[in-house]
Amino acid sequence: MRKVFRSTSGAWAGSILAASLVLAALPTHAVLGGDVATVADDQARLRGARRTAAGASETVRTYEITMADGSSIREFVTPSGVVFAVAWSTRFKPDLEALLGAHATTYATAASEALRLPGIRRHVELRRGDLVVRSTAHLNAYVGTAWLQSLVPQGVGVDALR
Amino acid sequence: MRCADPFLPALGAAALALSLAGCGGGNSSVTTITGGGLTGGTGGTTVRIDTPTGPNTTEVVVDSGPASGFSLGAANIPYVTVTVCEPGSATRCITIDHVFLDTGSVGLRLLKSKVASLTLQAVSVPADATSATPAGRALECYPFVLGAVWGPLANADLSIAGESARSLSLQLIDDATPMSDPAPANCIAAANGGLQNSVSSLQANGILGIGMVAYDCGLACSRGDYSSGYTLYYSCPGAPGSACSPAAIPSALQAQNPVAHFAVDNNGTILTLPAVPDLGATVAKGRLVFGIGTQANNQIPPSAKMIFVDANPASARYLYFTTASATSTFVDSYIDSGSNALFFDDAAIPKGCQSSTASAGGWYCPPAVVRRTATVTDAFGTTAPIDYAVANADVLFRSSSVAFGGLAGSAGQGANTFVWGLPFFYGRSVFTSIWGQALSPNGPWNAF
Repeated sequence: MRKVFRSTSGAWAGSILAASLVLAALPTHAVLGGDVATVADDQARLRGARRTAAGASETVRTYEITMADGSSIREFVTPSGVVFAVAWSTRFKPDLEALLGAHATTYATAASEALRLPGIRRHVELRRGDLVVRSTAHLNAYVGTAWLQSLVPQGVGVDALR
Repeated sequence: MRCADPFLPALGAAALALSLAGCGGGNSSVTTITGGGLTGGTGGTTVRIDTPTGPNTTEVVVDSGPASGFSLGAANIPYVTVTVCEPGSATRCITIDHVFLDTGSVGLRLLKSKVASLTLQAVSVPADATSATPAGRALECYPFVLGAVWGPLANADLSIAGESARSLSLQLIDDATPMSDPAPANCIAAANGGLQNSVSSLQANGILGIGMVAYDCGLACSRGDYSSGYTLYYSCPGAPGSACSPAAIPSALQAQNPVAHFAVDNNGTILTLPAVPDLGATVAKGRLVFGIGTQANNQIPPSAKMIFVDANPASARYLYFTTASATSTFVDSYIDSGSNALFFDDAAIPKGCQSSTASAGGWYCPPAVVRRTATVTDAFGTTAPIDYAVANADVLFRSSSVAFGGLAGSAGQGANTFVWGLPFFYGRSVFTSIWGQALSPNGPWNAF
């Protein structure tokens, strides 16, 4: 039984939208900053079950993909249908290259710069341009959030994006 | 004498070291240590605690690391010394110092060059039709939040103090140039392009992972289903250098928690470190104790608080607990000797340190030491108060010290993370269970 993962209440996305997602053509990876239809692409890639969930606010739709090993990924969509944030709780280090879509290169550059400092990391926040990636691990439990600052709807706190 | 004010911007390292001399052991943080030999360094800045003693204990040292001086930039890293032998041999052995003591991971991982004089048998993965795993040598790509280590699994006998783990499955980090087995593209990606395969990148000769579980992966890797992230285990059917495939590998063959493989005292650990002055110490020495409740020297004191992490693998908060501090609540909290500072968000504490770099996040640099009390809460509703201090990171890093009780960094504005890194351990005895071992209560928990 999954526990409730969000404390704020909000609107549940309607079944009409969910149905349209299933019918949408699957594009190549382009999730963060991409069209809402890319959520379905991630679902296929991650072999997960998708459901809509209570949003971070009434204006934000949240899609959650759950996987057999207990991992879950949540994608946050603006009222205009753009994925502006992705959050994860995974049993393996998540493939952010795939989740960040067109912003993966930005992340890779910031990560390689951060790696010039020696040592083991358990928590990191990388900011570069519009992109923020926050990532934490304890043992094999990876949690984190990535978002595009310019797309976060007004009134939505990033601490609720989890 | 003023010992608590770290804001000494006009003083150089030498003056700062002098000002520290009278402050050794002066930290006022709460400690549960009893009967300890805690001594302040009256003529220097070494702090140490010499108890408990016994065959189930070994020394832990926080110093500047395995190479010369400060060249590695090591700070707040606890090290232990281990001995590994060819299985069954009492003479074909090598002793390795400065192995990173990490309660935030599981498994012994040693730079391969450090055991080059030994002949260690490779761990073999059996063929598995369901997951299309070919029989072959086991190799692992073990990631961190940034970076990863890559290399084969091997069997060796491990001994630390009077404890030994026979035929332990451990990882040899491939530090050959070029690597004996080239890392797969998936592993390079998992490493963010930066495999950590040197003393300088690891700040250690290896990692001794003694976290709350018995295997470094467990069931998910035994099924070989890596769809939720990067591949951990590979089977390499051919000679070194030939292609490898993602592998289903039985838990018993995976990198093991070494403590769980000890003959006795195998259900957990205690890390006891001395209190450290706010401005740091050049060396801090403490004790690592094996076993919980198995000997007279590893009993949980009645005053200790036991904090479980979330034990539901389907929970988004799996392996975390909750911390409340100042006006914030942090649902992704954990205790970790492998994090060299406290990491959390507190907008009221100034950042803007000169020593912060854009890519490394921000250290805290308050003009005077900030003291707070947090409350941690676990899934069963148990709560525990924790006092902590935040000192000025610029002042700390300008000193000649490497053990810092007040080193803290921002986890990012609005972050849900509170990492209780090594500063939490100073002045405490911190128990870490091993889930699934003979221990009551059983589960993943810390007590302190």
